[in-house]
Amino acid sequence: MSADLGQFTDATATIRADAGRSQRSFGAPQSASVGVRLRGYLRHHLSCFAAGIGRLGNSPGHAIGSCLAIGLMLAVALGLVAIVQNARNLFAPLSQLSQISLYLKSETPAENVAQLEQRLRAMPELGQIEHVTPDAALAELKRNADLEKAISTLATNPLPHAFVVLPKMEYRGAEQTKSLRDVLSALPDVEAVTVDLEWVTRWQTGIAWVYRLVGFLAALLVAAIVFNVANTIRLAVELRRDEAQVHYLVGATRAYVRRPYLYMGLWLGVLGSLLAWWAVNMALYLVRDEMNPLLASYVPGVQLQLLGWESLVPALLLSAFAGWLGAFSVATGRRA
Amino acid sequence: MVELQGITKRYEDGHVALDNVDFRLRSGEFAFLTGRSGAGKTSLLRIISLLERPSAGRVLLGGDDVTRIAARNVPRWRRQMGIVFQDFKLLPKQTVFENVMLPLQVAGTYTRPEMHRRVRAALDKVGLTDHETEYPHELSGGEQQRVAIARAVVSRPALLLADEPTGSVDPESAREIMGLLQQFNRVGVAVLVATHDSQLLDMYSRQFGYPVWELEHGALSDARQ
Repeated sequence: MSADLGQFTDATATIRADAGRSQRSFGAPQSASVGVRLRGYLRHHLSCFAAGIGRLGNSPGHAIGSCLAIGLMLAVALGLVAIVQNARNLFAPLSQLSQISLYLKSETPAENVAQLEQRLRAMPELGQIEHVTPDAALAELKRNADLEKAISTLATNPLPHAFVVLPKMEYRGAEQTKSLRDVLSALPDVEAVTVDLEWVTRWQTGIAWVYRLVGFLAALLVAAIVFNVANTIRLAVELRRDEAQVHYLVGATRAYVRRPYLYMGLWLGVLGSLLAWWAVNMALYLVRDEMNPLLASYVPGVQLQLLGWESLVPALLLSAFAGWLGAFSVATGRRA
Repeated sequence: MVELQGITKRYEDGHVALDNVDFRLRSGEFAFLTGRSGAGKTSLLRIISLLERPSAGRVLLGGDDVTRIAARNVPRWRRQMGIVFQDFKLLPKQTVFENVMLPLQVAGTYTRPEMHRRVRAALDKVGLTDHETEYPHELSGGEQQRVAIARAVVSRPALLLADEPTGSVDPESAREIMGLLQQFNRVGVAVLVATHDSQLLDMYSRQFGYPVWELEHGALSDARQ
C-alpha cells in the first residue's frame, strides 16, 4: 500500500494530481459533454437490457413460473387469433354474398353495355366485375332451376344484360354497401340493383363482435400480465434491496436504480409471448394432419394455417409493454 | 463545507436521536464524531449524506441549504461525498474493480478509459491492484474496507463520511484504514469519522490534534473541552 503521496506509480497520476490541489468543496456537478453523458446513458440501458435476463436467473423458479403464466394467458389470445384466421379462410366463399347484381334495362344496346362495363371497372370500390350476358344467364337458369322445358317454349330470351360485382374488402361494410348500391342504381341503363344487405349487416356485426372480444381479451391479458410481472419484480426488488441502497449511496438516481427492473419486466413479457406463440403453433402443427382433410371436406383446398410473424410481432409488443408497465408500477412505488 | 444548524431528529416512535444540534465541518478538515451506541452518530451522518431529513433545523452543504431539496436533486450532492460503512456495503456479486467503478458508472459523465484509469488509481492508492478481479467474499475484512474506501474516493469527493470504519477489522487493518483516510484528507478531502473506539480517538486526536465531537442523548459537544 502506498504510504506517501509522493510515491504514486504512473497509474495513479490522477490522484497524484489532486495532491497539489487545495481543499475541495461542494460545487456544481462535473461538466461532461453531451456525447459522453449520452454514451453513459445508452451504455447503462444496454447493460440493463443484457443483464435483465441474468437477473431473472437469480430466482429461476419465480421467473419460469411467471413466464409460463404469461405464456398461458397469451396462448389463449393467440389461440383465438388462430381460430379467427382459419375461420376466415374456411368462410371465405361466404364473402361472395357481398356481391351486388346490376340488371340492365331490356334491349340496352351493346355499346351502352360496353360503356357501362368500362365505367364499373374504373370504380375504385369494386374488385371483381363479371358481365353476364342474356345467353349465359339463360343457360345458367336452365342448368340450375330445372326449367329447361319451360324455357324452351320461349320465343326470345327475356333476360337482360347483367353485371355481378364484388366490392373490395374495405368497401364491404353495411353502410358502404348501401351507398354503393345507390351509386350503381343511378348509372344509366341500370334497371335494378340487388344486394343482400341483411346478410352483409349480419356478417359485419359478427366480425365486429369477434374484434371486440379480442380487444376485451387483450385488455384483460394486459392487466393480468401487469399483475403477474409486478409480483415477480416485487420479489426481485426485495432480493436486491441492499444493492439498490448501495446504488443510492453512491449517487444513483431513482431512474438509474429502476432501469434494470424495467428491462426485467420487458424480458418477462417477451419470453412469455414467445412461449405462447410457440405453444399455439405447436398445437396447430400437431392437429394439422387430422384437421386438414376435415376442413377440405367443407371447402376444397383449405388447410389449417399456423400463426405467422404478423401475429407474433403484436403479441411481442403487447406483452413487452405490459411487462414493462408491471415492473414500472412496482419499481416506482417501492423505491426499488 | 458542512453546517448543521439546530438539527433535531425525532423518529416516528418518539425517540429523539438528535436534539438541536449545531455542527460545522470546514473544507479539508478531519474530525471525529463519538458517542455510545444509539447516541445519534449514524443519524447525524445520514442527515449530512441526505439519506434522512431532519425533523427541524437546517443542513447546509457548501453554503447551500439542502434541508428540503427535491429527491431528484439529492444524487447530485451525494456524488460529491464518499461514504464508508462498518459493514462495507460492497456488492457481493461484483468484482473489486466493478465495485470501485460503481460511483463513476452511476455518474454517467466519464468515458470508459477515464473510468478504468480512475479505478486503477484508487485501487493502487489502497494497495489492492492485485485483487481487482476478486470478489468481496475472497478478501479479508480490512481489504474489504479498503475497497469501500477506494469506492468512496474514486470520484474525488469533497467530503468523506466514515461510519465506524474500523469496527469490523483487526487493529493492524484499522491503522491502515485510518492512515488512508488521513492521506485523502491531506489532498483536500474533508473527513468525518464516527467511532466509539476510545483507543483510536485518543491516539489520533492527541497525535494529530483532530477535533472530537461527542454525542450524548442527542446533544453534541466538543469532547476536548
